[in-house]
Amino acid sequence: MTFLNIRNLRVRFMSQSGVIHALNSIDFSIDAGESCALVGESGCGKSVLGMAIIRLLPSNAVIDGEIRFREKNMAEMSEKDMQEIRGKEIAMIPQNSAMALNPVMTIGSQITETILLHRKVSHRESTERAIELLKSLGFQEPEKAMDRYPHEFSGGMRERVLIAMSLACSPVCIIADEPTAGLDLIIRNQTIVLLKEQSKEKTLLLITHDLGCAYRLCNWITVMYAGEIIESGPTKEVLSHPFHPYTIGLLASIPSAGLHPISGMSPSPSNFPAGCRFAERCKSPLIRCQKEHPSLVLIDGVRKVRCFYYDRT
Amino acid sequence: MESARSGVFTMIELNNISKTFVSGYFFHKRKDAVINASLTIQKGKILGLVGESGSGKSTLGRIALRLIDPSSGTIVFDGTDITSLSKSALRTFRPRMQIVFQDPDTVLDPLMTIGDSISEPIKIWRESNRHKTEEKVLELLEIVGLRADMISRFPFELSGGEKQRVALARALALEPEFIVADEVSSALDLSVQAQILNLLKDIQRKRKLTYLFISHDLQVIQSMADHVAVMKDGVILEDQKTSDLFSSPEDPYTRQLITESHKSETWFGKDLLTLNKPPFPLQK
Ligand SMILES: Nc1ncnc2c1ncn2[C@@H]1O[C@H](COP(=O)(O)OP(=O)(O)O)[C@@H](O)[C@H]1O
Ligand code: SF4
Ligand SMILES: [Mg+2]
Repeated sequence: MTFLNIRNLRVRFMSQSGVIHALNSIDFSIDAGESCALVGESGCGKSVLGMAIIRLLPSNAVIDGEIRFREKNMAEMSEKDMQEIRGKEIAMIPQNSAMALNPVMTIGSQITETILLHRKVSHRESTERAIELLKSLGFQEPEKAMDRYPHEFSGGMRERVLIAMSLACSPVCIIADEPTAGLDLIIRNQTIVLLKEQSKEKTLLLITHDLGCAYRLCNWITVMYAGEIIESGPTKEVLSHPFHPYTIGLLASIPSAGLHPISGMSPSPSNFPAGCRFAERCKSPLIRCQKEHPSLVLIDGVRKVRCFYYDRT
Repeated sequence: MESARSGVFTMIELNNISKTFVSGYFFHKRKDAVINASLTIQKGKILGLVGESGSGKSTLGRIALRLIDPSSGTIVFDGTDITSLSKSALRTFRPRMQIVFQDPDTVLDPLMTIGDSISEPIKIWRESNRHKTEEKVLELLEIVGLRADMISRFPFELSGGEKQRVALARALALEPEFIVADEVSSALDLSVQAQILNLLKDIQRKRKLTYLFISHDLQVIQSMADHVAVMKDGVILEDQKTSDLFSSPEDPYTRQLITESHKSETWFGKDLLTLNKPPFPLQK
C-alpha cells in the first residue's frame, strides 16, 4: 500500500528578500514498511520536504500540490487530525539534537510528556515506558538517566534521547532528519545500528547527507538538488550506477573515492535558472540544457532521472 | 644545540605539553585537557591530528600558536622557544602562524564586507597603501576561488563553503608558513568539503606551507596528511607516517578507529567506492 504519496508539491517562502523557491514539482511516494533516504547538499530542500509532510512548516510557507497519507489528502485534515498523526503515526526525529531538546527539563519528563500527550496512560505507566525505551536504546542506567538534563549527555546520547522520544508512541513511520550529523565515527556507527534495529517493520524516511548511512539503512534513495528530485531508485543501483551528473559528482567527492569536488555551487533559491538547475556545474551541458528544464522521467521501471543526456554515461 | 639544528627542517615542536583547565570559583573543577603531549612537524608537511570530540585536539592546536598557554611543556617554532615569550616579543612570530576554524562565523565580522575582513590583518600588520592592499585582496580571492565581486558583499550573503573560503583567504593574507586547520570541513557538505580540502592541499603544495590538520574524520585525515597523530582523553597515543598508521596501527584505540572506518566503508559497499572512482563518463 502507498503510505505517502506526494504529487507536484511546491513550497515557496515569502521572505523580506523576496520569494524563496524551496521545493519544485516534487513527486514522491513511499510504500508502508519501506525505507527511503533523501540525500543532497544543505539547502536543497530535504528538511522542508520532511516538515511539509507532517505539516509543520512556518506560516510564511506557501504550499501547492498534494500530499496523501494512506490515500487521504492531508491538506483537508484538521489540525486535530494532524496532531493525532504526528507522534502516533509519523514521528519526526528533528535535526540538531542540541536544539531540539528543552535544556531546562529532565530527559525523563520530556519523554513522558510526549507519551502522555498521545496516550491515555497513567503517569506511572508513562515512566515505565520511558525507562524501557531508554534501556532499549543502550542507556546503562535508564532510571538515573531520567533525572538528568540534556547538557549532561554527549551528542550521541542526546541523539538517542530524540530517537527514544520519537518511538515513545510506537509510530508506524519515522522521519529522521540528519541523525548522524556531527557525531564521531564510532558513535555514528552505533547510532546507525540502533536506527536499523528500531526502524524494522516501520516506514522510514531518512534525511541525510551521509551516503553511508543512507546505504546502510534504506532500500530506496532519492537525490535532491536545488529544490528538485534529480534521481531516484533502489539505493544499491543508484549508488553503483548513478545516472545524473550531480549524483556522479557527489559520489566522487567522498574522501575514500578520491575527494574529487564538483566545481561551483548550487544556484540561489530565489533566482533559479530557466533551464537545468545543474547546468552551471555540469561538465557536459548542451545548448538545450540552458534553455529547457528537464523533467524527472522514469527510465527502467523503477529508476527516475532528471537529465536530458543521462544515457550518455 | 638540538632544537636550533633541527630548526632548519622543523617548523614546530611541542614537547611534553600539558594543560589543565581550572573552573569554578569556590569549588575548583580541574580538567586535564592535554596530558604530556609531544609532536613535531617538519617544514612543508601536513600532520593530521585525529580523535573524538573533546579529546583535546583543539586545545593542543591553540597551544601550538600560543593562543592558550600550556600548564607545562615547551613550544619551539622554527628553532626558537616561544613558550614564554612576552606578547610583544611574540609579535614578530604572529604573522607567520595562523588558524582556520570549523565555524567561519567566529572570525568574520557580520558588519564588515568580505574585502574588509580579508584586508584587516594586512592593515594591522603591514605597512601598505590602499591600492596595494586591494590588489592583494583580489589576489587572495582568486587563490581561494571566489569571484572578485565578492569583495563588497557581507557574510550573511554567502554560503557556508564560501565563508570558509573567505576565512581561508584572511588566514593567508599575511603569507603564514604554519597553519592550524581545526575541523575546517566538518560542517560542510560532501562536495563542498572536497572543494575546500583540495584547495587547502593545493595552496599547501604551491606555497610549501606546514599544516597541523585537525579532524575527527579518519578518512579525511587519510586523504590529507603525511603523518597522523591519534589523540584520546588528552593523550597522544601514537604518531606515525600515514601509510604506516593505516597498515600497522599500534594502539588498540587506533585499531578500533580504523575498524570502524572500514566498517562504514563496507556498509557503503567497497565495490561501490571502486566503481565510483573517476574518470567518469560525464566528467571531462
Ligand atoms: N522559514 C523559512 N523561511 C525562508 N526560507 C526558508 C525557511 N526554511 C527553509 N528555507 C529555505 O528553503 C531552502 C531549503 O531548506 P532546507 O529544507 O532546510 O534544506 P536542507 O534540509 O536540504 O538542508 C533553503 O534555501 C532555505 O534557506
Ligand atoms: S540536463 Fe544537461 S546540464 Fe542538466 S545535468 Fe543533464 S547534461 Fe547536465
Ligand atoms: Mg536540513
